[in-house]
Amino acid sequence: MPDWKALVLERLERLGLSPAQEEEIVSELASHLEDCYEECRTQGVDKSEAIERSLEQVASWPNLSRKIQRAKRKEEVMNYRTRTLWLPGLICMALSAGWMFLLQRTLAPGQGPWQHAGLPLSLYLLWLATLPVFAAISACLSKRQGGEQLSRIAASLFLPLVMSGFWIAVTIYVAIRVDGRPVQWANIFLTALNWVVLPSLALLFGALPFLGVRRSIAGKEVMNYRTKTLWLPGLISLAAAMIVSTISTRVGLQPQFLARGLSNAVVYLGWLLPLPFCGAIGAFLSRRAGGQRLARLAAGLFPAIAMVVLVGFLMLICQIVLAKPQGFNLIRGLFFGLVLPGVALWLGTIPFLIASRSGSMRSVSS
Amino acid sequence: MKKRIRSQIARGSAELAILALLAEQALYGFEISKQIEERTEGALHFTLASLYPMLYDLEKRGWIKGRWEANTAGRDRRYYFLTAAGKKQLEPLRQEWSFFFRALDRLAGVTHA
Repeated sequence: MPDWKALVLERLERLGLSPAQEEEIVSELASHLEDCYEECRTQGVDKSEAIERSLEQVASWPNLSRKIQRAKRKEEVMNYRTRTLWLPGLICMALSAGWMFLLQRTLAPGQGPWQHAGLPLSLYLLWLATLPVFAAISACLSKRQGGEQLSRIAASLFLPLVMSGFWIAVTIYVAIRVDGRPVQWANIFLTALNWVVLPSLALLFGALPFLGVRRSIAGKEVMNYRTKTLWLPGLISLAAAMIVSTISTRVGLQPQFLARGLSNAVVYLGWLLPLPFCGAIGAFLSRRAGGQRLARLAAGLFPAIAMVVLVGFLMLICQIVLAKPQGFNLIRGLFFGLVLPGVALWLGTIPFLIASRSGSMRSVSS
Repeated sequence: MKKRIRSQIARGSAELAILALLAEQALYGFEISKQIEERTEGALHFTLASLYPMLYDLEKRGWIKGRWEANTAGRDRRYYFLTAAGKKQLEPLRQEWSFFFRALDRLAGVTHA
C-alpha cells in the first residue's frame, strides 16, 4: 500500500494555511486516494495501475492547490503580496530601526564603543549581530503566509534594500553635483558597507533557515537536516549570547561600576560566565534534532564562529581601509574576544558531545 | 445512456447535488462522489480535484460542516453534515433549479427529451 499522505505532500503546493489545517487537508485527500486505490484493487486492477488511476483524479496539482487555497482562506484583509512581502518586510525594518533607536537611547554616546577585553564592540556591532533574529522573524512570517522563496528573501532584506536606494541616490548626487574627493567616495563606500552590505549579510544569515524549507506540516519534516541540527540551534545560541552581552553591558555601564572602574570587568565577566549555557543550549537543541557530534559542536560554538567571521572581516577592513596596525591589541582582542569565549562555549557543549543517544543518528525523512 | 454533462449547468448543479445528498445523511468525500455518480447514472462525476474545493467552499459559507469520525471499517474519515444554514439554503436552491428546468421545458421541451 503506498504512503498516500507522502504522495499528496509531494504534489500539493503550500497552501499558506496553518499547519493543522494543511495536515487535515492532506489527510483527507490521501484518504480519498486510498479509497480510489482500494476500489481499483477490488476490481482486480494491479497495484501500479491502481496507483496511476487514483492519481489521475487530479489532472493538475498546482491548480488543485490554488482552488483549495481560495476555498479555504477566509476573507482576506490583505492581498498575497502584502502578506508575504510588504508586511513581513516592514516588520523587519521596524524592528531593526526600533532596536537601533533603543540602543542609541539607552546607551549614552560617551559609553560606546565599549571595551570587551580590547575588542571594540560598538553599538553598531551589537545591532548588526541582532539583525539575524529580525530577519528570521520576517522570513518566518512570510513563509507562514505561503510566501515564495524570493518573497522571503526580499522581506528579510527590506532594510538594506531601502538603504541601497538611498545610497544609490547619494552616490548619483555626489557624482553629478559634488566634487567627489577621495574621502567622500570612501565615506560612500563605508556607508554602503555599514548600511547595505553587512546588514544584508547578517539578515540573510538569519533568514537562511526559512529559505530552503520544503514545507511545514505537523508530523512531517519541518526543516531540513542541516537547518534543524546546525543553523537553528546555532542561531538560538548566538541570540542567547547577544542577549547576555546586552544585559552584561547594561549592568556594567551602571554609574556605580563606572565610578569604581569595574565596568570592563563586569561587562566582560557578565558575558563570559553565562556563555557555557549559551553553548549548551545550541548543542542540546542540535542533539535533540538528531545532530551528529560535529553539528552539535558547531551549534554550540556558533557565537564564536560568527564573531570570528565578523570580527575578522572588520579587522581586514580596518587594516586595509584605515591602515591602522593592531599589533598587540589584536592578539589581546582575539584571546579575550574569541579564544576565551570559544572555550566557555565549548565547555557548555561538552555534556552534549559526550552523551550519545540513539536519536543522534541522522534521521532520514521519507 | 451514460453521458457526462460538461457545462456550466453541471458546475452550477454541483452545489445542489452535494447539499441534497447531505440532507439525507452525513457522508465523507469519497462516498459523496460515488453516490452522486451512481444516482445520476454517471451524468455527474466528481473527481478529487473537483469535489474538495467545492466542499471546502460550501464549508466556508457555513452550509456544511466537516468532522473527523471513524467509519465502519475503523478508519478516520472527514464526514460532512448539512448545517442549519445549509438546510435553509437547500429549499430555495431546489426551487430555483425546478423553475429553471420548467422554463427550459416550456422553451425547448428538454425535460422529457
